[in-house]
Amino acid sequence: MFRALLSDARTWTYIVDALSTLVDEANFVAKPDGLSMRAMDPSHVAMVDFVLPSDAFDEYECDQETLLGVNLDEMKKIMRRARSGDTLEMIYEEAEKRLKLRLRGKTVRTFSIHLLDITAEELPEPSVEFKAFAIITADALQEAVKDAAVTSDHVKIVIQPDKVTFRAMGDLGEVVVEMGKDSEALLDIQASEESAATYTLNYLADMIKVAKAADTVKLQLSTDMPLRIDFNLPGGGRVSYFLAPRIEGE
Amino acid sequence: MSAIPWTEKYAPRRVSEIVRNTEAAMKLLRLVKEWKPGSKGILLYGPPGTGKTVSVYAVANELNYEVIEMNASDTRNVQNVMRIAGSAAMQAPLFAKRGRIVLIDEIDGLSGREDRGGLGAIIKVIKNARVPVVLTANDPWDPRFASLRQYCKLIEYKRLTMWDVVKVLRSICQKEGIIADNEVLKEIAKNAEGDLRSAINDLQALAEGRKRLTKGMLGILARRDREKNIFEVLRMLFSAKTARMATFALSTADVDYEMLMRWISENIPYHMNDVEELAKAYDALSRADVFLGRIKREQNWKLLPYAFELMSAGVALARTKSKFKFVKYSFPSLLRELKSSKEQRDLQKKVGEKIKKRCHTSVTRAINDFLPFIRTIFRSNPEMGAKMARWFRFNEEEIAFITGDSKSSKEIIKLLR
Repeated sequence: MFRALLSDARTWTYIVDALSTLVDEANFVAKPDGLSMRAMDPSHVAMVDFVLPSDAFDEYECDQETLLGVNLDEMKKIMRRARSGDTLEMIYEEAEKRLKLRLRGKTVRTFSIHLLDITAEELPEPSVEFKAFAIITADALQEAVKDAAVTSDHVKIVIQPDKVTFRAMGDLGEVVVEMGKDSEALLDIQASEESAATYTLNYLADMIKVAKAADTVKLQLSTDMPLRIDFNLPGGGRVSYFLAPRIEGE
Repeated sequence: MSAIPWTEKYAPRRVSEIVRNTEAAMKLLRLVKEWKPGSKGILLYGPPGTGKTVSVYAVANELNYEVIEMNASDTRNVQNVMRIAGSAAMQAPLFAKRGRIVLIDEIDGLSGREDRGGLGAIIKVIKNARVPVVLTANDPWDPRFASLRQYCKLIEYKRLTMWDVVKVLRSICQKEGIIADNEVLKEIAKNAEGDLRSAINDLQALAEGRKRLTKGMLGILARRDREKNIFEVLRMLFSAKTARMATFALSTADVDYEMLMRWISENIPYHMNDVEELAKAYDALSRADVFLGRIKREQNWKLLPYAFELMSAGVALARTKSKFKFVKYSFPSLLRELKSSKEQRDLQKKVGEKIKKRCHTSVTRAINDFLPFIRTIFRSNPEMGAKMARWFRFNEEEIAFITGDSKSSKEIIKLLR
């Protein structure tokens, strides 16, 4: 038996939006201490690691570990129907093999979806060491990604001890977005050495969708190694993405 | 059903374990190792079951690379090829692996309709790839691969001899603790025509639940040819004397379960003329249908074996009195009727839509509850019918459909002019 209540349904809308950009179907794992999901996109370029601890919910009950395999697009469609001010209750009962999503606002609306039997692929523990990190505001990241997209389909992220730089080169020209120590957007930064790697913007653009639900974001990377992006959700919980670097041409 | 297919369990982990085509696999290993951006793609070609796909995995295993595979079960249109293969070919692996190979398997299977533009997209992926892209094909000389070939280095995989296949089968038998007559293994190998994968599958099917294989058991295998047409499948099914033979018959079919079900349902009466037999056969079939329904509703594919057994063994073994005879099978009548009545149904739906708009009801209701009355009015009172037709905005074709007889429809149409 699993039951969870969120007083603001939109939090879940953002989360589902963010998860569905990478995978179509995946297993949520409900445990007594919270809800989580880890999934990789079909090309194994990006991975998402999502955790929402039980105290991030307004009410939470789960007596044993339960796999909830869902079609994220279906769930997204349902969450589109959430109105501001709605609360969301998720209920799963073994006997029914269905997950119920109950939106409570002016009316009470219950959507049930069939759960899927998804054979979970073995996903590697994200064990990467990072040489540099930067904490910036979520909307600054969003803007930087949009700026870079003006000229190119990939962006080089450079973290130096005193600033983060987003550099995008394309046929039309170059875009450089800088956040120095004096910038309001940059909250914390640390780099044991200058670290830089190039990433595909398509993936970044999908990943920052969850920025709507978060205030700040932590970027971690090492030269030509995967990027880790952590969004801390208000009220606890986080969505982390891992993105493989592009292999640079000659 | 046993857990892992032997083709996977005993797949070569190293290039040197590949039978007959070891050299080809070595060449692949070298090309992948030496590959750098700008190098060509690699196209492995040869008959099925010669080790093309497994050598890609063996190479990856030796080099500690990961394989991102797109095979015939994925839709390989432009978007998907770019999204999966294209994206994988541009970036480094995420964790712990030293590199990656993008494998696009069985490109012969690219269909013109569903995989539209897939071939062009594959060429684009190869041209821009930053990691080796490997393709496999049975026939690389197909004219549609002409431009693809220019971007690829070709490696040929040769057909295995019967002895190659027997050798592998024997070593599998040893590891599984199965005692098999040489004759049996030879027969399986001959049947497979150099296709090691299907030979191993046949062996596993034969050895299911047995520790000793003798020549007498070969009957079950019958002749292997992939994708039997539906008539042969039905003939095999209805002539089956054991549950095993019946399920085997169905497993060779190349149509989906629902279609299969309609075919069986249509043709049961040709083979059985005893009432009890018929009742039993249809009972089994209807239970299979219940399972298929559940599978569809709950996406619970674990139930498939039950549906499968019921519609094969359940139906075939219902025949206890009637003698098996050759009959001409007929196409499912439901489908034929649905097809021939399509025009009428479309027209009915259009009429329903118009009624729906005017009367604020559903189309189903409009057709079931409203249409019969409208029809009666049209037939018995053309003047009133004409007025109604104008209000509903029925066109001439629809009026003819509603009345169902030409005399009153002509009258109404005349009044409308």
